Amino acid sequence: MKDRPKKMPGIKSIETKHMEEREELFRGLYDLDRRSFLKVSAAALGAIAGAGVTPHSFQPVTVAHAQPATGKVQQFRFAYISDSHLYERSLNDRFVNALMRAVDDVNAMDPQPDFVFYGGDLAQLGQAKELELGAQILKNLKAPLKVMVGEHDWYLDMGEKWRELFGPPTYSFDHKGVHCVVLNSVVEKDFWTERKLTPMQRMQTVAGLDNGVQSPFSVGADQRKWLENDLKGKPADTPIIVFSHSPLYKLYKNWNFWTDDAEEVQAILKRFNSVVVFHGHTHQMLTNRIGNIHFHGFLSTAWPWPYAPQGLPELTVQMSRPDPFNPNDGCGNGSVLVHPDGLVDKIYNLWNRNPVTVSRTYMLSRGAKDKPSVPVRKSY
Amino acid sequence: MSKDKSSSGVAHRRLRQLITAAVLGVPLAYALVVNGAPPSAAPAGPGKPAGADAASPAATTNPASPAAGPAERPVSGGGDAPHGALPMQKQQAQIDRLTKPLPANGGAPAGIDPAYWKAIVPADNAPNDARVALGRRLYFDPRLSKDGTVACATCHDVSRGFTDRRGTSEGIGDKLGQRNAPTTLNAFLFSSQFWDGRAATLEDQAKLPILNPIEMGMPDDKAVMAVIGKDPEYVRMFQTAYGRAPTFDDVGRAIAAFERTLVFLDSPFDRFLAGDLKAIDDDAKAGWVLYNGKARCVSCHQMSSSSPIGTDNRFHNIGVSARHKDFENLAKKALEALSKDNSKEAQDRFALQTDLSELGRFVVTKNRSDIGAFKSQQVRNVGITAPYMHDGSIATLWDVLDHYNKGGEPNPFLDGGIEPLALTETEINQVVAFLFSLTDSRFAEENKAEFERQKKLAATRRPLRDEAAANRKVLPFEHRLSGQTNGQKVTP
Amino acid sequence: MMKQDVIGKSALLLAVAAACVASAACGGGQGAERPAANAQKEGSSGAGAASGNGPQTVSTASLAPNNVEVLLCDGKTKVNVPAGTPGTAIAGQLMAEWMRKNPSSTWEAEERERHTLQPAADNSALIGQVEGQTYGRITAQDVALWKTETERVATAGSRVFHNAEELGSTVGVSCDMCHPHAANTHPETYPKFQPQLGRVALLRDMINWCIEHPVRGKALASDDPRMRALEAYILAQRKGKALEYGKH
Repeated sequence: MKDRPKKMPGIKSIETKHMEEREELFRGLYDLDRRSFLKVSAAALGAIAGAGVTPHSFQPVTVAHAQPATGKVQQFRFAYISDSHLYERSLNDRFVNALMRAVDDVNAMDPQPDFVFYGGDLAQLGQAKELELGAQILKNLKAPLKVMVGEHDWYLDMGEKWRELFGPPTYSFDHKGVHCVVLNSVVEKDFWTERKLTPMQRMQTVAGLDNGVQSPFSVGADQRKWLENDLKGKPADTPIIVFSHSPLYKLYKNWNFWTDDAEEVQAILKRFNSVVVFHGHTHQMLTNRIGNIHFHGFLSTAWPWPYAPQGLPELTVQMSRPDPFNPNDGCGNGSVLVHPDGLVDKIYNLWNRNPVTVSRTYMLSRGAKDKPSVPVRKSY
Repeated sequence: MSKDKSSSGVAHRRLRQLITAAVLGVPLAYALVVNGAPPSAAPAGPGKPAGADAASPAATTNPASPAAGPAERPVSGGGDAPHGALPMQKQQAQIDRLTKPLPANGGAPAGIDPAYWKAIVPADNAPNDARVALGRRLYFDPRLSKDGTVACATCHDVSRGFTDRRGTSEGIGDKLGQRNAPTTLNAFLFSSQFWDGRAATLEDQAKLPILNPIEMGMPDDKAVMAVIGKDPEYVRMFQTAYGRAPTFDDVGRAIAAFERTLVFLDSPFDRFLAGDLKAIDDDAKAGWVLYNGKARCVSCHQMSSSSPIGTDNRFHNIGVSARHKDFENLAKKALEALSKDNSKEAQDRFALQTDLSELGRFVVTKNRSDIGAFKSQQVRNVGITAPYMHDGSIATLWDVLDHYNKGGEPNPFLDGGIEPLALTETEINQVVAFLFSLTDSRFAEENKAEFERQKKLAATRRPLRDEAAANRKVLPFEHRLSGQTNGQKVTP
Repeated sequence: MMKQDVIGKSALLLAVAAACVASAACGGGQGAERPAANAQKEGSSGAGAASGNGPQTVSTASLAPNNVEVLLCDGKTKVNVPAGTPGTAIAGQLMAEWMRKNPSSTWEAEERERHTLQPAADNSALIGQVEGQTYGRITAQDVALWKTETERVATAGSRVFHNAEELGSTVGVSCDMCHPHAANTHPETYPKFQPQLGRVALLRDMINWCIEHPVRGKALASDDPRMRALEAYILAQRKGKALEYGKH
């Protein structure tokens, strides 16, 4: 074991998931660079838990994979942080500290991820001070940062400050064979003009998850058109990843866990073999699959939401009910391993809990294999 | 009872005693009684003098302990039995005064809910006088150690709050461990034993230090039973207590039965709860309010009528282990070693000997969420069980409050319930006053002496005090980020 | 919606009238000059339900000629009207001005628009049931009254629940941030031993714990109107759930 040759830096052959995990586990154990271990162990524990091997052991992963991944993507990992809902630090220190904790976690990853994706709702009330504070804290990340906008960032000034700090909310980029699209999926029909709301009143209306005065989220016709154009001509075997703050499907309208034109957006994406959607907003472990589109929710750093009373997708394995006495429980950050075929293992790095992996195999088998461990305590 | 002897004087006396023992052929333990009178329960049976390794006069020089600044000797209490203990005979005399006889009908001791008692006492070890007497004899018997210097009572000393008032405990050959000795007082009310909960019951716990190479050092249970077997009084007592020849498991049972008589829940605070409003002062009353409120102690140290000791029986990383260097690298070593040997004994060794000790509960469960997590200790009698935390690294209760007030020590596994408390100095004094009011009245004088000693020490140094952190001017994870800005452009 | 407005308005009018009647300083306690007898006659008339002293005039030098500034008895609200304007119009303008400055007078309507609220149980089956005893004779008005009053308290609770300032939060946190529509509050499981409180808790104990810690405010007294309203709202939202006290 100790004589195991190290991987050649810079050259990554396409490997099965099994070999990759074994490799990482032992590399973490015996590598000279010890700092790697804890994050590897986190992933390993998560992966093992997902693989059905008891999470308390550190047996090497021996999972039979019926569908080993092959494809165009040069396998990579990215980290995510989301939904920090910052106030000014003189008002609320907890949320600020939690985002700092998330940045610290991601900085401790070894190897570092290719990039860090921020899932939206950086500010709580869209104020310039809040967004600037968030941008400041995120500057501490070692890896490159990519961001998307959430409703809390947008509805005070309709995105003016956001654009200034982070650029256009809708954009796309390519990474190692995957085509990534970032949408502003929190577009709401105007409810504020007829009510003569001030900008802050508009923002506070949107800020209330259960506030029925606001409109449902949508992507909107303009962006759908943009998306069609952006994807035009790409072959169907191009792996697609979509980043969107709202889930791009319809879960629970009363809490805007909802995208009104979800079907239209899904129709545009339908022709591709591999589409993975990552969304924020829901502050919980959330998993769905509609046709060939896989949906994964990001954790929040600030607070967890309970599960909606109805509409929960079948594939979702709920996280255990968070303990109110621990402000970090049910919160966290995480990472995503993108396989050669563009499908992903999503790792939830829950604070003060063992990590949970929702694997590519689990998604492909529609929940038959690799089920993440079942929670002890569901939402009331 | 603290004897202020110089270390060389003690070493000299110890050497003399060893030589006497060798000459007289008397078991070493009984030669160590200071005044030379034979212990009341000991027959002058044949015994071997201890091995030569215990005889070194330089053995009192302790290697550096990881605890922050504890003295070579226990901080207070004890005597000049080996390792600073009060001699066994004197301890036993105190026990006679301190403990109450068992209830006649075999019911719960006073102050313990009968239904709860039933739930916590194992069916095969219902306490009775025979079992308690046997357990007591074993508890105070240094013959159960390899060099005959260490009994349970050495580190769980009647005169030192049933602990040893050291940062970490000292075992045979003057070897220092990595963990602070928890008090035996009220220990029966825990759901698990040891700081990392690796023993499920008192019965389990009692056996492990006997076999631990740096505590009592017996090579295996057969060696223990050989010692027991050579003493006909033991054989007789085991027969009476358990109706069979002595077994190692029964050793654990008997000690547990004795420990279940150590009920010390009669403090001024209890009298206050019962209606005597003058039992504790205003500071302590204010402290009790803070304990349940702003100071958040109750979140992990809850006291209820059924379980009054102040623990949730769970394991939390509050950051004490994070003060040890390389803490974050240790998980790797643990997994390597435990993948080879996952027995309880291996866990026990790792817990105390190696620096894996700092991983706490993780060594037992291998849950990533348990890295650096230790059991919420009881707050009963906390006034007389300094120093504090799993490594004894915190010297006074004021320092304990400083630690919590600043939000513990940030690390990747810090329990999210630990956060800065913004307590003022007055509020800290009030919580400390409350904590001192939790000491059983039978230790009132000791408690008072400890209060004065700690107060004096805290007046000179408060190493953990951090007002900026406590008042949230600098946030816990901010420290870790500072200096890491890399000027990354924030663009998509 | 209109109905609610009317109720709000009439409740307001009653309140204003009561204030006027009750306030001994209505004629000038806020520093307004005592009106001349003539000016008073000019400015006042029976203004509907707002009887009593009615609006007082204030003579100031800066008024346009032939304009009168009329001050409401709250000492703050005023309108500037041409002389000779009928009293009902003045009262109407004062009302509009007062409403503009006190938007929370329509709080109930607004709260209902923002947040779905469970309706109270329907008691109409009891109407006209029992003859021969006065206490048992339920009328439709009774049933309507019970419903309105009950739901009003629950609505008030929803207002506090969703409002960090009302809760006294010093960190900008309101209950709905973790409990949208009071989800996951599980009031049907109380009383139960709450380990982290070290004792048996009632719903209000948990509410107070949340106020002290996540919300970082001051605990409310058990009979504080806000606490009572919060309990009412939380319990109302869990309508139909079986009680299971002690359930964890």
